[in-house]
Amino acid sequence: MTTTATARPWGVRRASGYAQSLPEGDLLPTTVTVDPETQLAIYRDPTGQPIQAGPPKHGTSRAQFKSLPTGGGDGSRPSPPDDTKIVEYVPD
Amino acid sequence: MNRDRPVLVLTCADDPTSDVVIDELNSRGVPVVRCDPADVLVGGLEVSARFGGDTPGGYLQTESRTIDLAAIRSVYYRRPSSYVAPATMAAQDGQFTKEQAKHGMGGILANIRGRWVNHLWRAIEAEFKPTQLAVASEVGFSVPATLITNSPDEARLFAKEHGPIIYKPLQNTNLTKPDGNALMVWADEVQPDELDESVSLALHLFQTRVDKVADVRTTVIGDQVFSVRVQSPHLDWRRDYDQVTYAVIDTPPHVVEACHRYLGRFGLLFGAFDFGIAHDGSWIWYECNTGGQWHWLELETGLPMTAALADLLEIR
Repeated sequence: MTTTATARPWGVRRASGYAQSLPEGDLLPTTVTVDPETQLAIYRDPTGQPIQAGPPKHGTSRAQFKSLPTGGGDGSRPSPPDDTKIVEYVPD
Repeated sequence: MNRDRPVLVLTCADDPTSDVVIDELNSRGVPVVRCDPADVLVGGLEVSARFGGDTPGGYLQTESRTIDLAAIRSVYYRRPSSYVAPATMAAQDGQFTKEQAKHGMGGILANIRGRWVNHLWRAIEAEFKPTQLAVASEVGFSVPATLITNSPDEARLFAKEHGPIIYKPLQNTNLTKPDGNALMVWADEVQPDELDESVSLALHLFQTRVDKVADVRTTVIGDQVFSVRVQSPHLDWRRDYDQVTYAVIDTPPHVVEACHRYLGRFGLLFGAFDFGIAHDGSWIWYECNTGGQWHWLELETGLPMTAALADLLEIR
């Protein structure tokens, strides 16, 4: 059975974008791995070169990691500064 | 004995805030194991846990470290990835596998003894806004009049009685525009004529708009309390960080006490509280995020928050 999505709750219709713009695409890391020695993240550019990602400037990693395929919940674009994944564990 | 026990950091690879804390723990010579529980679904994490019998216990083995579940100093529960079914599996099999991971890992991790910042289950309870609102009132915060409803009539009545009002979601979800850009439902003022029958399609949280002069983010890390005044042209300052200015301010003693009572009620050691400062100088409670971001405030103000968190995890 196909459902036609016509029902939009009031709250979701109030969604809007972020004011700040995205950084340039060519500066974005494409992979992130964990260094076995330090347990710190290593970000790499599309050629595999490590990038100094630096500490987060704002509430989250912001738009830095746009093209990461597995961005850990806020990987792609600016995201809520307070996001967590704990609600995943709420019993069904 | 604690000296050799590692701190377990539960987070995804892409989490600069954890990097800051791990870097600090490394510099102090405290052993750290970083683990993303969802890696169990992609072959990056081996797990074994025994219960009952003669040899209860177990281990987690990441790609670089092994940790004895019975010998953990403390746990920093930061930002683990979502459990995602392996793409190689059929939908039903994937769903099955994901649920096994979620329920297995959740329970195994939650059993870990040691200090948690914050404990998984405790944080879940505190994530529910209606629970937060009730506890905030009980511990003595000044809480704005709030309505959670799916009744358009109730919403209109509330707007009439308590207007101007704002709306904010009970929980954010990932929303995107057709072009892929992220969308957010910001806390924002509601005009009464905007309320229509579609209020009935979901639960909605409405609140009296606080007539504020500024906002405050108070980050509580163990016994330490860090308050930063946040000035923004927007009602919801997260809309544009570039327009926000920050200043360190003192936390009134009664607010400090209420923060500790609040976290104590939930069994938490970390909380990011948001307040509005009213024209009379009083602090109006908005919400408390148990997994809130904090490091950017250290960068903006120099407050020693990383050290405070590392102290908590090191158990000095």
